Amino acid sequence: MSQHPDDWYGLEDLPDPDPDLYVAAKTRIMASHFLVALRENGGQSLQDIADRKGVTKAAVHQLENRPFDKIQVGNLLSYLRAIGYDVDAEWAAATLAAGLPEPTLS
Amino acid sequence: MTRSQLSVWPDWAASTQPESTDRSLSGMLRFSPQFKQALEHLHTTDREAFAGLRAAIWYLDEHRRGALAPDVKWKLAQSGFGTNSGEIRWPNPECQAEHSRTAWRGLFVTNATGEWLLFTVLGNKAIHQAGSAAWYDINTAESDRIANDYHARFRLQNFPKA
Repeated sequence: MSQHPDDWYGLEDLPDPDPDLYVAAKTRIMASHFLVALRENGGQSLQDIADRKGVTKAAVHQLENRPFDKIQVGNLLSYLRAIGYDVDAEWAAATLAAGLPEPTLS
Repeated sequence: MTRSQLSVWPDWAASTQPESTDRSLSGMLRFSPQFKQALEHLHTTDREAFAGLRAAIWYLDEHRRGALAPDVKWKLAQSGFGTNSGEIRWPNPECQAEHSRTAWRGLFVTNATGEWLLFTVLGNKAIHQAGSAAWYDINTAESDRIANDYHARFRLQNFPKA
């Protein structure tokens, strides 16, 4: 269908992205969303978490926006505890063990 | 977000194809000719950036003012549309150090109730010679103009005052 040069377009007119890259991008976005949503769902501000952790608001903001696979496990656990979750390294290990898929390397 | 809602979040990742326009809200996303052309250029020159921006569009459509990730930012200071304006961003500002020459910003305008989203201007502010602030000054004004022109043509519902 031809379009007038001044016409606007819908989603259906855009090229499709590479499926793997698209899923990776969505995953990264939702991981950031997840952490912030956890905090805000508990009615807590950046300052609340910063005070509890003894760090700056900027440091908390930085962690929330960092790509999920670049967050150290210890920092994630510390953040979750600051929100109010009773989690520790043992919980993390048990949760990983319970949720791991089948290994791909023989 | 309840705990059951939190447990659901990974399910969306099972979809490997961009969403269709079946959702009623998706039908109200409109892209300017410039925005579309810029995306098409990225589709051939930077597939990672293209996928990232498509994902940001999806995220904005899904969450609108509930968007919390840094890939969406509401309220452009320079826009006359205030809280009814915003931008999608790639890369994530936290990763900006790894992309010295790439900072894509896609400007949009909407109304208070979100019946429609106009994507007006898409550009790479990192390569703007006069700097980031100048990029926003120029392109936010252009975005406002484009949105007003669209409204003049199509009379959008509940168009916000600029």
